[in-house]
Amino acid sequence: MNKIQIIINVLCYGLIVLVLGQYVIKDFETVRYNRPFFILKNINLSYDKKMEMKAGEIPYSFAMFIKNNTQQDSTILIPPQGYPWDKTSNVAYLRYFLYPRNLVNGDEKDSKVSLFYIDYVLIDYGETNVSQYGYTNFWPKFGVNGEYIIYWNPSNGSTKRVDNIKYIYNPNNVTWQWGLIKVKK
Amino acid sequence: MLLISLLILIIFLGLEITILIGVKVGLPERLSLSFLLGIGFLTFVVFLLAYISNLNFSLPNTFIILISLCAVCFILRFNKIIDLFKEMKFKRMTIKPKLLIFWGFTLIVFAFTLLTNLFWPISDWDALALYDFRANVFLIDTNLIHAALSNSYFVQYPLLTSLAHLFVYQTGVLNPKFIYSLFYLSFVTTFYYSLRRRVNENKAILFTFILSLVPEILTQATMAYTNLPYMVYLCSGIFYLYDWIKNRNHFTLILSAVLVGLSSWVRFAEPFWLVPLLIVFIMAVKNKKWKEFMYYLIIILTFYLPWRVFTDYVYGATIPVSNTVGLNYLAILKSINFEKILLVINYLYINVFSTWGLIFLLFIMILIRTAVNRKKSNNTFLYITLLFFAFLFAGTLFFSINYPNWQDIPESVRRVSMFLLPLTLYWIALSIDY
Repeated sequence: MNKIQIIINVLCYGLIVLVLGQYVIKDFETVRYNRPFFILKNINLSYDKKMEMKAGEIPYSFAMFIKNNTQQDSTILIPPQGYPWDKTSNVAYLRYFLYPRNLVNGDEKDSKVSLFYIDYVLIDYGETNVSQYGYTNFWPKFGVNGEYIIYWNPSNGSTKRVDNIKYIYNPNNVTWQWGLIKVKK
Repeated sequence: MLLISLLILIIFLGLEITILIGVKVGLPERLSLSFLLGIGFLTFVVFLLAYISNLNFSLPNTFIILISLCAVCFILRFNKIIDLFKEMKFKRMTIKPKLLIFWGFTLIVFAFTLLTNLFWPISDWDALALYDFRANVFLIDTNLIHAALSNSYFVQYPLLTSLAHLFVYQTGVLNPKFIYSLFYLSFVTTFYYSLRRRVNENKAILFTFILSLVPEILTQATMAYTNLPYMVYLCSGIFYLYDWIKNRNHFTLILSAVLVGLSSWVRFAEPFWLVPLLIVFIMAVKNKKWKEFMYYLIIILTFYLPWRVFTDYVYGATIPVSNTVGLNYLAILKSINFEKILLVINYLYINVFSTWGLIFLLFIMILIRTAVNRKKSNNTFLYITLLFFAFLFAGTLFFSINYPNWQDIPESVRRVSMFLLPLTLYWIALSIDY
């Protein structure tokens, strides 16, 4: 082995040590993200709590609210796919929690499909304040003739049912609202 | 209890398959291969029966199929299976301290992934949207064809991981993520023993230690995505292919074909299985032994084609013919220009290779040294690795021409390219002097 080769080898092994250091630092992020000490302290944490931590409190709890207040064979109209409804407008994501219910995207300002085929329409403020495709917080931005509406409070999970009510969209009264409209047929 | 029985039977099935193929390796490597082959074969046969004979998914059916497969393999090679168990003696082993530290460390990392996977439920986007969703659908709608025709975005990827999740759910266990820890441990073991056959013990320990810490791999070991299993099958297949090139042992070629074939049963869209096929083809031309190439081709297609036929059937039934667009390869070739090539190289560098960190620099350094040092003539594994790089480049170029928004999915490209890391490490280990 000549001198140059020895120098190259030393350089290579020096780099390997640096690679290992770089990996250890990056892996520390993975360890921190998965919180092993939290796991050991909270080994009996419920599935719901874990999912709230991972999927987000509002999207997961809202999905559970919808699941508990709709029939399995129902069709549910949800906001158009995009922000501010990051997860609650994504059929492929939301169906994981709501299967076998059928989910259909509406448009922002109209239902896109005839409400005759729809059993429920979400009232969805949006879990983010980010806008995409010009969409703004709050949905639906159109009226729905409701058999009843169940309002859901994300802060404490409480619900309030109002019977025989026509849902009217008022652009001057856009508040932090969540719920479910049972469509009157 | 049911889950433990299922796992033991899956590993036993894999063990029998290694004996059927004629694999001659030590027990740790054999057990790792047994898990990979067992879970691969079981999911594949369950899919075939669900598709061809319309067999519904259920726990009794899973066990009947698994026990039948074990029985068939046992009948085919019962004398060799019995011999293997007779040869297993639990004698007091003396293990070197450095090996003890290495395996102890590997088991600690494995335990970390296991703890994480057992505690945190599946919550990553693609797993919820597809892989684990399908397992949940199969629990309710137990008919494969009905489920595939009734749900949109359902057949984009083959079913290996989804069916593995389903089997776990069928036993009543609520979290199947631990499977990914087993994939991780199997791969680290296979990597170590494959490398150990080519380099000295210290080097094999050092590079397997690096592999076990690769951040991309460790992160994927705590997620329910298909990238880790894909990498495990494809890279293991390449390691055994390299063994075959070096030793011409027939079993390593068959094992390589099965593992590469199973990689296409994890992820279907990426045609990286063509690389080992091309290598075997080149070897066949060189040695004028076409039988080996035919074996290799047939085995890979056995795993590849059924899913292709199935997806064609599903798309044919759900997408109107007028909506299907054929690819115009001539137009694609005409669209390639120097600017596009530079754009793709830049995209791959920024989103893939630069994210690897210093290992890429090390790879380039040794590559230059190899190019300058003309005495070292045996660079087979380097050529294999470079062929994969070329395929990645060609695939991205092709994608960039067909999809206007091709630059929007850097995370996905990074994950897809993850299998290049073990190959790069393996080649560095082969090339570096010690």
